[in-house]
Amino acid sequence: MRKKDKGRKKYGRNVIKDNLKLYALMFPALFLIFLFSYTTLYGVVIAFQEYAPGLPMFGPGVKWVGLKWIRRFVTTHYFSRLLKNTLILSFYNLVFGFTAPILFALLLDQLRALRYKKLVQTASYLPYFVSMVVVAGMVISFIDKNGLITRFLMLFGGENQSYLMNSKAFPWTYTLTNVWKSFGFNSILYCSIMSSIDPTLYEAARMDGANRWQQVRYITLPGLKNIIAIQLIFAVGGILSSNTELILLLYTPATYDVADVIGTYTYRIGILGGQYSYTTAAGIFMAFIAFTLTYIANRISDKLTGFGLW
Amino acid sequence: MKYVQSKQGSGMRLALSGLGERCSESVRRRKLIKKKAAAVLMSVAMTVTCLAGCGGQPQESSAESKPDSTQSNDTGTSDNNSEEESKTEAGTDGGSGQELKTLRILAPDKHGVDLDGNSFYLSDWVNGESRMYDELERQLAEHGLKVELDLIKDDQWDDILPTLVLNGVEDYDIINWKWSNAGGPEGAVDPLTLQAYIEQGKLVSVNEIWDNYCSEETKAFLKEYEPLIRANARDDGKNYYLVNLTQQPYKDGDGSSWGNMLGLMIRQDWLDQVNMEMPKTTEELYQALKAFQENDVNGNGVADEVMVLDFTNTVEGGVAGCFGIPQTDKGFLACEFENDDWENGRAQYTSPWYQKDKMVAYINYLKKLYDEGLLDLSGAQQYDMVKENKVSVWNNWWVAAWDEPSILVSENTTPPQYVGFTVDAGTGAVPRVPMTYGTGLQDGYVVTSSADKEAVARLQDYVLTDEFQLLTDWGIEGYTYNIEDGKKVKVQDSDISEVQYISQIYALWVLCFPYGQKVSLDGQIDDAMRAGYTNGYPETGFAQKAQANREWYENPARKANMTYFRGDVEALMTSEETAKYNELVTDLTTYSTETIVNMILGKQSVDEYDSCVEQLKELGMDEIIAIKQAQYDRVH
Repeated sequence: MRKKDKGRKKYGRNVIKDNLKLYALMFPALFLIFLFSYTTLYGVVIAFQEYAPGLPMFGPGVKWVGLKWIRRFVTTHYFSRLLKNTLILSFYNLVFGFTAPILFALLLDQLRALRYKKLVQTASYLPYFVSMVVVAGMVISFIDKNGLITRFLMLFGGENQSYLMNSKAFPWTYTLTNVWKSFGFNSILYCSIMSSIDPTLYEAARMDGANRWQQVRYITLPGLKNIIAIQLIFAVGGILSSNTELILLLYTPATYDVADVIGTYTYRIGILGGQYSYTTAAGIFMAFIAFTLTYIANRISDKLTGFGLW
Repeated sequence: MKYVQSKQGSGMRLALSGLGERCSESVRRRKLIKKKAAAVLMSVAMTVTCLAGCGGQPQESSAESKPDSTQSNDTGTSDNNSEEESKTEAGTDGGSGQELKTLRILAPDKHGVDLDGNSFYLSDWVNGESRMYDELERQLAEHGLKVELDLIKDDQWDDILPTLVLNGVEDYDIINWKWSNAGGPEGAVDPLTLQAYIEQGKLVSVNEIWDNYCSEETKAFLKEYEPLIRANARDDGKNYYLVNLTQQPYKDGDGSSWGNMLGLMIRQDWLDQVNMEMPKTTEELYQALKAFQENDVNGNGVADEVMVLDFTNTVEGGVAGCFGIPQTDKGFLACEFENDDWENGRAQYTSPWYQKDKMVAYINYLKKLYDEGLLDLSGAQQYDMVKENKVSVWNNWWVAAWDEPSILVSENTTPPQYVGFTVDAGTGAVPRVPMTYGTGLQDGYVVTSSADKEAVARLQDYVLTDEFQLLTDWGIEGYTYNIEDGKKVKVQDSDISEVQYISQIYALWVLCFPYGQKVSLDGQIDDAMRAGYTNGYPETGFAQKAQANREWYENPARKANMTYFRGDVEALMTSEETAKYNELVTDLTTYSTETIVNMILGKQSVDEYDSCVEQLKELGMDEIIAIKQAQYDRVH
């Protein structure tokens, strides 16, 4: 038994030693996660306190209020609307934002002209590096009255209106902007996995008479299966953390009914209203649901693909 | 013999097994060492990069006083700006022999636009070449002061300040607490944070500074405002704000009236272009807006000339005032005055939602404009739209002459000019125009427990001097203004950016210091008019702009109907009031703003008005009104 333990330890040491460079490269990211996600975690206690700026979070004098703030959040006038909007916008993001990079990577993989392929790939990354504020400004000018997209839609019978003030248009504006900004960058992962698939598999398939679609279906997609599963689990976990920054830049009181999400609401009550305990409670509520969804997604993935995070 | 694969992939290379093997082994080792070193270097570089943002000051823009700027005034201040030495400088000022004390002030980095259309910030004055700022530093040094300004871009102030002060206030001596982009009496930081810091002793009462450290002149000046100052106290009877004290807005240096109203402004040059008179009724305004579009007055081939309203302010000022609706705070809160006398009448807090007839007429009118494409409610973009030459009517200060230079117009067209106006809505109500500057308290600067009280007193003494007023309002004689026939006249034909800016308005540091308006504000109307000389009206200037101010102010009937939000003469909220207020205000603001916009857009019927009022009551509107009334009643 002791011998076995020793062997295991030695194996562990060897693994670390052999992959020292990889661990060194991973260290900064781990350090950042530790610094910003773990060292600040103790702050969640204010969700159960009557906290005010400058007060201690522990020790005598702390006024504990139990679940008061979470109860207030779930009974607020806007709770059902906030939850519904958050889920709907995140769902759109999940369906389109998640699949677009995969489809794009698959299509890109089919291109044979290397220069053109690189050009397309580089062009698709560019929006990712443009500031969200600038992107929002562009979108607003495009979809405003007499804007570029508004005028384009008029060619197909659309009205000359400000789509910024249109509740029906908002989910699409939000989703398409998100997809446009991130699909290129998010496809890098899939492209790199695809390039690591053994080319002899494609060669063999071609000799057996497989067409392109069959090659994608029976070789590429199974090769991507695991990474798609992981990405999907992460995406489901983030379903409640819809892109608050973009919504804050795009929404107006005219579109609150579809655009006001938990993130924007907590911004208004937290940053603008100074109710930090209440905001933290809303955050905990979101985190709890997100963790539950991640757990379920992981279990499903494990069952269906045999691959899960834990 | 063995075959060793070349790293470069140039085929198989033959190598001798003895010497060749040893060589390739040492090459491999060297490469391995190089790789490891590169990996270590890369990881160190990545860590350093990641942590680069962690250090330093949290401010958006730190504009410390130039180390040598005070030296240039022969003050003999130390080069060392370290925290330890910054509280009391070793040197003395140029004349009085006082030791220099340092004050660190957190304030908005106010931006301006010169007549050439160039934008700049106060931090550009502080960090660059500015005779104005150099003069300010010289004057401060004469009063034994050195100021370090921590500046946050004014358009980001409302978002950054609350998070910054959440981390503590000890790093600053004075903070501009009440200024906010959004306006309103509370400022950018929520009332709860203020209460918490006062109770923890991190913000100190200013009464002790006034009473024990300020000069006799300052005490005498403050004495004149005693009722107002007392009214602004907390329930412990103490004041926690250094305030701007504005005196006598009524007369200029010649005894003629002036005023700075916040209301509707229309493009006079476009009215001239379509041969129309200034609209006097809402119907005439509607016709003018239509004519602007039909005649494509901005000449871009698109019917995009619109009135712009910021939907967060849809119930206040502007069109609402023309329907007799009082100025509001957060869209649902307003106050009326006994006998419509906003100066002496007792304030009665209410909500515009309780004035159904006026509100319905107002909403229906805006709905008509919106349906016909004459109104734009995307207020956040209004400044961009103004620059793009698309805005025919908007809300602004009536003496504002600083927006026109940035408007992009084609050559050989009449220069743009916005002029203030009101219209009769036909409801029998006399139009109301908010006038924010009156006799009273403006803004509010908190003093932290780390501040040197004597230094704060020196600043308070200095900002009440004529010297500071003159520098702020007029600048430097022979540089930004000249004396002609015994009158001060601002320089209008300078190529220097800051001189151009001062020719339009006062210095950029007005949000940094709690100044007192002891001298009359005679410059403002003149500034507004003269700005037109350089903007393309060499004969008349912005004469119409200036005239609109005078006419409005001189009309006694209208004067009685000016509205003025009395947030500055309310006592501070108690802790209980603050907690209740914070609990209710977000949902109420959301509901009120959303409802009125939806009614204008036609997404919600005006027939639902009564049920909306019921909903507002359910959300606690009456409780907030009661809190505001109690604040007022405690001190009146």
